Amino acid sequence: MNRRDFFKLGFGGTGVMVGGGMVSGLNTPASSSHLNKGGHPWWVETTLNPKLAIDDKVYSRFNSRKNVFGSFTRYYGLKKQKELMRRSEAKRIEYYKENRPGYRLEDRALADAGWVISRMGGLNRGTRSWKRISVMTPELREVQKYSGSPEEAAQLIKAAARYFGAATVGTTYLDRRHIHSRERGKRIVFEPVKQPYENKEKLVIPDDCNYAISLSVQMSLENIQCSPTAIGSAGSSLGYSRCEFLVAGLAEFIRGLGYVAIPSVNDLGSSVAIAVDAGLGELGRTNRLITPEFGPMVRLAKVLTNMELALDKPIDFGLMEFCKVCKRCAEACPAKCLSFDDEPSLNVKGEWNNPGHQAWFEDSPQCLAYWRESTSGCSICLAVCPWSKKDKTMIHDIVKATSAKIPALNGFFTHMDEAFGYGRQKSAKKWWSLNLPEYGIDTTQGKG
Amino acid sequence: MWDESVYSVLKIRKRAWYVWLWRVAWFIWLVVWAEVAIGSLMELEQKAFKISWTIFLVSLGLGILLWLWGYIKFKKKQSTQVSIGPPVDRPPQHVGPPVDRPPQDFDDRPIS
Repeated sequence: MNRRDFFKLGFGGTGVMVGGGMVSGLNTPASSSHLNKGGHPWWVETTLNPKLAIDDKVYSRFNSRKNVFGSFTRYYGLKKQKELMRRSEAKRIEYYKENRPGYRLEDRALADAGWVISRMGGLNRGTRSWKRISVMTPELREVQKYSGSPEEAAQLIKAAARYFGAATVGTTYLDRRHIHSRERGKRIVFEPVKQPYENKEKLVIPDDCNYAISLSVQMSLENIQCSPTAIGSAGSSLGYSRCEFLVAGLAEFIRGLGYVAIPSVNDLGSSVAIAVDAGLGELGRTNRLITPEFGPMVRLAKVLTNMELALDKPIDFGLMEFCKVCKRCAEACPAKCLSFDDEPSLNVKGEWNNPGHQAWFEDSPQCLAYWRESTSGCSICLAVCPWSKKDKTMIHDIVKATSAKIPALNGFFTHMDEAFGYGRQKSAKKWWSLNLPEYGIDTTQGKG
Repeated sequence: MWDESVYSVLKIRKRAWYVWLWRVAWFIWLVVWAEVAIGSLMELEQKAFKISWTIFLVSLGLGILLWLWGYIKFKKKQSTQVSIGPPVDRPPQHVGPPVDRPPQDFDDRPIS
């Protein structure tokens, strides 16, 4: 090989790389890389709209009563449910007698204890109160309320949110269709009032609460990889409790600046839809949010406010193209409740899905039934996702960046991920001797 | 004075210019797999660690063997092409001015 031949090969290779990038670019919506990337890695593009389409004629506010937790008996059948509960109880006792790792007393105690802070809040209750809890407001301090620019305000909010435990933070103009129409038997309405309130019939959000702060909290990958055991469940429960503390703290901070703040975790509206709008991630095959930094290893929360904030944009990091070919979550799901369709669709699987938007819809009653069956919930779909990675080796970032720019390699990456043993169930027994860092997470992940 | 009993024929073999590129590529390959192995260990991913560490060790071993093989081959060739001392059965080669010049006083033999 002479020097000329070598450079021919070199440029050929570069051509393939650039060409691949250009081809992938053809499939993406109007990208606008000049917009704020919200602290995401360089290979994440910001877009003007979320990648999955919304049918404006159909998409509307969802009655939370229809979700799988609210109507499980109706969807699954009372007789089947009773049988399921009987089997679940029998299994629980059997596992306990066997002293099966992951289902022992100490494992279940850990999972239950993880909920402790989460149990202190609910829709406009306790830590999620829509009114001031203890913070000194500007009126009480007899000073003017905060009056920085939207950019400065967004900067303050993001710094405070990070301080209270958020992994990532995004801001968006509130699409009211993401807010539930009813919850706890009451209507949720927007009215021209100064402060949010609740009476016997309705929960009232002030009309000027037009901004949503979307927040993600990391979950421990070590825990979730032990799914479906109580150690896996502890990863979720602690995530919820940390969300509770986060939204309570952030809401009080905003009230301390003199503005309305309505904290929320899974209540009030779709945290996933708001997170997509705020550019925290994209909707994956699991019909859950997948972030570029942590994959699906996050819990979501949100705070609505009337504080004017600079807005973030939705993002595109090639996840939709990846999910089209990967399907590892659907293959690993023991309840077979995730979609195997190649393309996301507008056709819902049942009443538990809010129609009018494109997604890979799931069979939620089957999913919840397996939670009961396993006796300790399930997060296998999250554990096996190739985007659920820590960042101790740069190969993960290289693969993520390449996947974002050259979708043709997604199939190869999926096979490699499996071959290298990622996503395999970890030992719940060994978890106790791992000596993990605080909350079982690396708080420096995703920060470059 | 010129000593006719001593001849040195040196042939310098230059390595192909891309050999260094192969070496750099091999080194980068090793660094990448070592990094993946260490990272996987830190991430508590046992299988990924075992695979990447094996790839690293095999690459390292193969690389060393290949280098040794090349080195020995190179040395062998070099030793056959360098002779120090008087040629055993060959007539002495011409060393000196071009043939069409008048012979110098230190060598007036006809050129064979």
